Amino acid sequence: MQAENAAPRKKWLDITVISPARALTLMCAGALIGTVLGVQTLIADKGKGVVVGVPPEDVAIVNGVPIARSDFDAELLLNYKVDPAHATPAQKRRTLDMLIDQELSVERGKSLYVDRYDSELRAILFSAVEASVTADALTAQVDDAKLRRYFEANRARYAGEGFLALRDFVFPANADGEKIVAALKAARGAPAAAAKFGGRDSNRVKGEEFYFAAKVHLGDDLYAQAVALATGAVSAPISRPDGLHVLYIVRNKPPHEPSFELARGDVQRDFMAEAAGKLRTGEDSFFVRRANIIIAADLK
Amino acid sequence: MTVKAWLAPKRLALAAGLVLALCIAAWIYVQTAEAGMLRRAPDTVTADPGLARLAEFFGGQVFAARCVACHGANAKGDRRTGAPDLTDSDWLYGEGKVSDIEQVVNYGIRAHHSKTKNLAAMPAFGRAYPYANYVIAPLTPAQIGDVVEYLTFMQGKPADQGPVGRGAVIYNGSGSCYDCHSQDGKGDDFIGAPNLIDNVTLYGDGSKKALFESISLGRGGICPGWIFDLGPAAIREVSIYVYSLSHGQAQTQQAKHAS
Repeated sequence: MQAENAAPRKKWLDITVISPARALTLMCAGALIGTVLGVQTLIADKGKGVVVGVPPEDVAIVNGVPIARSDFDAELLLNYKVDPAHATPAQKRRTLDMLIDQELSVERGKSLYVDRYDSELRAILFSAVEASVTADALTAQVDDAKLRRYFEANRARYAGEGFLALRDFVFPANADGEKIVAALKAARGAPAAAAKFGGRDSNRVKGEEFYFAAKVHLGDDLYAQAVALATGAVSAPISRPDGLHVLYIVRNKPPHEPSFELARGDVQRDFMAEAAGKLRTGEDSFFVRRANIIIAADLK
Repeated sequence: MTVKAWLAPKRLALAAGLVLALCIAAWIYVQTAEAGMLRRAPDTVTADPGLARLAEFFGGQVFAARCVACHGANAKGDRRTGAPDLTDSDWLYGEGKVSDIEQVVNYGIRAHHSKTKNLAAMPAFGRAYPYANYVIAPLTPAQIGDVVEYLTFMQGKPADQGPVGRGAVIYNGSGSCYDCHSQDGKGDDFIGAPNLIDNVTLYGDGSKKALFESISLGRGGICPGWIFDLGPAAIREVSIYVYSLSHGQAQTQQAKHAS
């Protein structure tokens, strides 16, 4: 009797034998799992389907559009200086009402094509689209090898500024340049030595200056001469419309050699910005190719 | 009982069913707990030890996958790149509450989002055009040196009085340093201007050379906003994990991640 009872069970469990009971059970289990997953998807899928209840990260769904709890919290803080744990029910209700009104207005605005006429809104939309397009590039984990390659390709960008302190002596145009240079070298650039030849310090560079400032103050040609000289050097005479210039370099400290370790933060920022730019350009060209754009005859 | 008997189809089916049931139960538990965590005000989640532990567990995994590249496995940051130490009590933005952290995780810092933290950056006073947003005059190396002496004095360290006086004038005048860092040098956590006198350094070793570099070359670190990449639960969890790093609860877990 026992053997007779055991036989159907074995058949049910034996996968080599077709069993309608097993097929039915598995089908029901599959349907149940599918239903559970489907319901979960509907709950989690923001505004893309029939929403069953409000997802925990949102405070309301308005015409299928979720209002995020983080936005609700931020509004509470902005309007009442309280966090949600300390807000009164009235404050919460007013904030929620305001956010719902806002959402309805946004929808109304869309139907009225407000974005066509409001340049500020267009700018905000542009930034928001840009942010979503470039999100992948800006949140990507970049390894050091890529950053190092980028750094090597753009080394000059990460160098600091050099410092320059000098005396720019101006002499009469007919002065003897060679004697002046010799005298200044001997006197280590002392103004008194220049005065003997009728020279004076132009005072264009006052004290120690960064290279960029010295370039502005001296002009390109004098700066080019100065920056090539070492501390304590005297330049060759340089003829300019206002007379003969001789430079004495009090201190020339070139920019420090850029180091990847020091510049890593800046390198990463620039690398990611460039990656985001490429992504944006690609996206732009994709949409431009598919857009129907008609340009005025005078601007073609 | 023999191994063959243990591996009987009936037992295997039972075991598989049990595992499936456990997985479904765990999934439902996590989903329910995460929903409860999201419905609570961010700053109150840590008051529930069970929720906090769950958030720290999942948040730690998000941190390991997304944040360690800059902040390090031990979350101590990197002073070469200006990635802040997340285990101390010094906060660049906000007061270090879960809601403050979540705001940064969501929208980032200088991260191309309308809600990102991007009100100010440190100008490069040693460049021809120190600041991109508006016109600021550059400083000379001597002036920057004076400001460095003044900051050293403000930190309570020995400093040369002559440059300190000149530096104070620049700090509170032409350099406009006070505008972000405030007159007492304690910074402004609304715009992310660091406290300059607490001996917590964001960039470099706090030496005069490092200060000179920061003033002359400028600073402006970035932190990506994760709102497009992570779900709300993951964002809340990693925020709670980061909060717990400086509030004791997850230090053991963080040490495990580091090891």
